[in-house]
Amino acid sequence: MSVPFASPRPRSALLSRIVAAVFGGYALASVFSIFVSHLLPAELPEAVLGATLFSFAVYTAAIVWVFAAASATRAWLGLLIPGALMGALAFALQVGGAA
Amino acid sequence: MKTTFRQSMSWLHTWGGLWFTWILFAIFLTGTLGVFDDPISHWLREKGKIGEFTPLTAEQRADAVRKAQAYLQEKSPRAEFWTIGLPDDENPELRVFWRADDDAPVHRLRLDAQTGRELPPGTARETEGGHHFVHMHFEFHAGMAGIWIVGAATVAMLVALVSGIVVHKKIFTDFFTFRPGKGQRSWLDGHNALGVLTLPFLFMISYTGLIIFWSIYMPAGILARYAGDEDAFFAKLNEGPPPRPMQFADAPVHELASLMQRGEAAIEREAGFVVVNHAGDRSAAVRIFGRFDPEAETDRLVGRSNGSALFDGVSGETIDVQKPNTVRGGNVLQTQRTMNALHFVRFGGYPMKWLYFLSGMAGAAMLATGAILFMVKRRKKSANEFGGATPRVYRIIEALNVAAIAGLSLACIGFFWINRLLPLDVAQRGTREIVLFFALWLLTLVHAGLRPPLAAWREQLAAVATLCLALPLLNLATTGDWLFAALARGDGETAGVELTAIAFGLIFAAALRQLQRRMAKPAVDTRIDEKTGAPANDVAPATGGR
Amino acid sequence: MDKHFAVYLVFFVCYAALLALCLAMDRHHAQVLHGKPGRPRRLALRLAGGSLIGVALWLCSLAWGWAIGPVAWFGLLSAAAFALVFLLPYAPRFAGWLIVVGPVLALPPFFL
Repeated sequence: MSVPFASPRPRSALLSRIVAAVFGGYALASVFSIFVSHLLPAELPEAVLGATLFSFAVYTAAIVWVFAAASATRAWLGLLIPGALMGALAFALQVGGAA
Repeated sequence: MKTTFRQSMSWLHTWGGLWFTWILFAIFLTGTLGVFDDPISHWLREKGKIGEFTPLTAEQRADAVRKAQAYLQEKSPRAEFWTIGLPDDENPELRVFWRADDDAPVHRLRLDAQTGRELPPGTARETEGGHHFVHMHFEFHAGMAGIWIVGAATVAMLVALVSGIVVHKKIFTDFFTFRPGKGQRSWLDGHNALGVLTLPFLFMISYTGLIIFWSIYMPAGILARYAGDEDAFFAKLNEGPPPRPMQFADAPVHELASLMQRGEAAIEREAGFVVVNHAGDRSAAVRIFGRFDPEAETDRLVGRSNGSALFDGVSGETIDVQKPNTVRGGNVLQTQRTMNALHFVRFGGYPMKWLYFLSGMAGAAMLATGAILFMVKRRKKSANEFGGATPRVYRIIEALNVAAIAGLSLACIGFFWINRLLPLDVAQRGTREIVLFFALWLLTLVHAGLRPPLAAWREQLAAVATLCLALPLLNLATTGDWLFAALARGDGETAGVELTAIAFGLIFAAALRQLQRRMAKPAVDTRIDEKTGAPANDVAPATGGR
Repeated sequence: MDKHFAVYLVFFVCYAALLALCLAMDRHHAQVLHGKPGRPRRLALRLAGGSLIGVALWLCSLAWGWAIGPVAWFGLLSAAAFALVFLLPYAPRFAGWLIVVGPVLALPPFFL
């Protein structure tokens, strides 16, 4: 190990992970902050702030996950599945709350 | 071959850490100096010589505001904002700031409080003062771009901390371990000890740093739940009056002196700042801020309001009054304020500031040892990560290490020298100082690129040590004031700055001596230790691994 | 409690705590006192170290209150740990003596 740029993994897989970590992780943290703002038992502005306070920990964890995952594909799936799930629930709550 | 969790974290720690370490070191060093921005400003502005400031009477304050309003009215009748800073013992002149619109630069000028005229350059040592380091710390004097760079680096810091803990196998058994004089082993020990012992501080300071700019870094919640209307969001969050959007219709600004007097009466405290938003527009609003009271902050973690009064900027009608020492907003907002307070360390006075200073410097040293460790390992044996380009990449990393660590230190102490050596009467003096600071830093990079790495280290360390140790002499030569005079009159701020500079000078001199010793003999070989049979060696050999 | 006094006092309590924890480890016991600690001594040192860390937190809360106190506690623990870690390799005997000499020199001036 510790031969990062000459590792058996193809270079494209490394690039894919970096993109997943930086942008995918950020997107996941963003969706998390929206989703959790629906759940927190506080008034809207405070719920948004409260959810965002946690989102930076989610971002950090997401980056760690991306580089810990066995493959780049798994890394992406690990971001996309919870992201899509939280996104869908947040959307449902938004629509449900507005109705 | 399957890589283990620790191996992936090791990769992440090494490379994620390396690419961000230079920026992070700059953030840590300047932020740590920024803990003492007030004493540094005190030194840079030669306040020790100015003597006691006599507070303005109510009539003088009203007069100063009248003069400032006339000045601003002439310079920029329509503006996104005007700000008038009343003289206080930190800033004995009348200050005005304005910005024509969102995209325009902020103008800042100092006026004579009696005549209302611009102070000509050279009447006082115009300088950004200790705030220079604070601005370096959170934005590198680069506005929004700088804030984003610092934010990205801070996330990288959190990732490096998490991965660093995973990599550091023997975090508890090695808790008290530092074995000097053993080359790579010592750098690793130092890096680990500095990191582990300040770990709570490092997590706290990084996370709270992100939280300060939470709405810039993570605006998704406001975008999705408030349709991006930040003004409305923050008005509600802060339990303040609703925002006043631009109306694009001309209307004269109400007489500010009387608003200031009404504001002072309403909040029962002297005014510190008068701010006019949307000056010249019908939507104008005037806010009177109570003078900042540092005493009131010392004993509590979260400072309380200094009081403010908001008026309609055209009719002069009172919109809102918040008394001093009151708290607005719910529990979550208080949580966020607590996190800000933890970052800014306005609480607890000097003992707490010193603890932050020590922890911050330890953090900076941890980053520096990490960056150096990376190269120390590879000087002995190239890991050949970049194929044929490896030697060139190493060369660049070496140069960046020197310029980022020794070079920035040189630029920081150099800033104090620039402040004393730059003539007093140059225009835009405060900005020039900062430009020269960057020029000096750039010069260290050029130097590091041209000289062999160890020679570059030696020369820059020597320069830093010299400039630090000679700082009191520079002050004596240029202003006639210095350490002993300051000590004699009990000016702890001036003396503190110079004593701290001397302490750093000694540390850099010690580092220089170590380096020279190391250059005098061939690279340290770990086998030598086994021959001498020092008991500390029976622990594991260098773990390598990263 | 006077804050400056508290800084010194808590620093030495933290130092004592960490020194005790450190002496409970073979390597450091050999460095400072020579020989290995026996099982009872090791346990006693661990117990003393742990409780002194608790005492330090309590003292911090007395001096600064429960909002600022824990921050001061973390900071002083780190400062004491640095002192110990960097004294151990260079002056291991003095690292032990500091807990006797330090408070005697630093604390009484506050009562004058």
